[in-house]
Amino acid sequence: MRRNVAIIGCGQSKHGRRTDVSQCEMVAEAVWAAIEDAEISPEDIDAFAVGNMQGFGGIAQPDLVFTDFIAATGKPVQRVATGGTVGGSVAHLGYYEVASGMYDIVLAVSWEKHSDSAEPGATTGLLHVAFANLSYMMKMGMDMRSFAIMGLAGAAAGVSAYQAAQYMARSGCKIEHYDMVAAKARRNAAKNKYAHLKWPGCTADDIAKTEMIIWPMRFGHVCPASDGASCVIYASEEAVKRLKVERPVAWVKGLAAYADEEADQGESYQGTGVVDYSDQIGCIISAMKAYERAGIKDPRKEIDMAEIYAPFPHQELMFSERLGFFEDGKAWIAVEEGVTEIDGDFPICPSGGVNATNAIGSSAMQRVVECALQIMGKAEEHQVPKDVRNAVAHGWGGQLQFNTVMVLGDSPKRK
Amino acid sequence: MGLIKEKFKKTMQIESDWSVGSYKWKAPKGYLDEYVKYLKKRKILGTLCRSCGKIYVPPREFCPRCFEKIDQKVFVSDHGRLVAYLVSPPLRKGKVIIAGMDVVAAGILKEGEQIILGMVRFEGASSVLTLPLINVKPEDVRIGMRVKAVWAEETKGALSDLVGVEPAEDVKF
Repeated sequence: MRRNVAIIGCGQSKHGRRTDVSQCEMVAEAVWAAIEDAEISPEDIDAFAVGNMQGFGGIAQPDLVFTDFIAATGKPVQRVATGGTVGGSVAHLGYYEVASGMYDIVLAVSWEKHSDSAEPGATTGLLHVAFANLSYMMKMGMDMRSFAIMGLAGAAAGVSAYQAAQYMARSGCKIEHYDMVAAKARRNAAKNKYAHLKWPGCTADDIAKTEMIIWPMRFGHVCPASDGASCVIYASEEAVKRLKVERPVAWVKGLAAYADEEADQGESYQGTGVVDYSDQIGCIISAMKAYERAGIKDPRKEIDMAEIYAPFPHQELMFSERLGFFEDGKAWIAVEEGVTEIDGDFPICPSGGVNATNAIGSSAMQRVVECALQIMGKAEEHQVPKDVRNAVAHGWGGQLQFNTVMVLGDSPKRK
Repeated sequence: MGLIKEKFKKTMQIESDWSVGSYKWKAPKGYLDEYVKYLKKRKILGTLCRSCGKIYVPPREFCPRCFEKIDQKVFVSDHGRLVAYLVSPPLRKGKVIIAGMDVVAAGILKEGEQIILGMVRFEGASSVLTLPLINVKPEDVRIGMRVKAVWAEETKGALSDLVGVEPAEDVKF
């Protein structure tokens, strides 16, 4: 039997290029902000769930060095790593620990510090991920020209470019719609004091003027490589009562994480057997299961806003369909109508989202934090004007195939 | 290695060998051996899942959707359709650094050339392959256009035998 679990406090570090702090200090910034927000003391925390993208930021396992900084000494600490989804996975892990009855109060923190690595992620992280396929393809007689061509559309942006092209073919939307989504992200980020790429009043035309990196992806479509940490503190229903928390908290109503088949590069010879890069069946299953657990039947009506893990604008459109908010191939129409704006009928990523701030490990956790803030009414300048009773936090990563979906609400789920 | 360059005046070089070919990683033994053997004969091999009917190119050992073992080999056409594509800007020296190497300066890719990457579904196949789309201008590319495989002049049983794809019909708009 699952216990009801609430988020009683959230914390974020300032995101951006954080050369002013060490990795330990940056994580501690988010952790202490969350502890203060939850109005508890470090002694109240029973266990810690931590994680970042493996190998990014030039260090393999930074959690090994910062336990002292986050008051975790003498406490259980568990690390998970699932690539880009890691923030979502850490958020899920923290929830499991409380829902299972194992601990009453658990702190979950995830982070990334790209600026500690010369080419963010690429030197230590992504190349190693791609190595499994690259080395084998070289063995089977891939020539240098093909290797170089593959590199043109390499890494996460490269994979996503294929996805963007395939999504355009599938949905009939145009690059202009990607410009609109990216402009919305920059605009919204300007209202979020923790965000990285802020551009007050940014328009689709501003984005359209940026350089085409690889068609159909413009420079203005691409997320930054940010540094930052995000943190939530979970408490069981009993602990919420014991701590006499009377301010609004965000209840976790349902969550799910399903893997799709691996779909990296999909380059010339690799044989991932991918039928359509914009399918994202894992996301569809995760959403269906999370809604079932949360008791939600009509996501478009019952959910009030969503924070989607969309480093690139086409993903906001694609995932909003896979999460059941719009029909397949129709999300761009909603964008045209302004439905997904902060003051729209169904706000998506009012914080600016991952497109404006992407500290990989932090990103999926930040979606949970932002949804919780909207429910608690603490999102300040980017608080959506409508009542937020249910919100969805989505995470995406791995080799294109991991998805995490968490439904948060203003009241616990009753059986 | 910006961190080292910024903080230290001297960097150190260590010479050694790293045989990437010795890695097995995720590929099962002999995974693509048969595929490249048929590339030498200018044929494209796939595998058919008897459970869902999907044909995977290159061959897979099992179907990830049904989790069924696949043992039926089939050939697919070397003609297909373009599912999606990417277009690079004209390549410039110093702008294209791949795995630490300036591939334009090294002569691997040409100065000023524009690469089109096509996602191709060969007739009969369910999955898509990503191959360079050649002998066509970017403005003449359309999603859904028919393309055909371009083979190396001399095939030798390697992945590089399949150079890319080109339009299968005259492109007129």
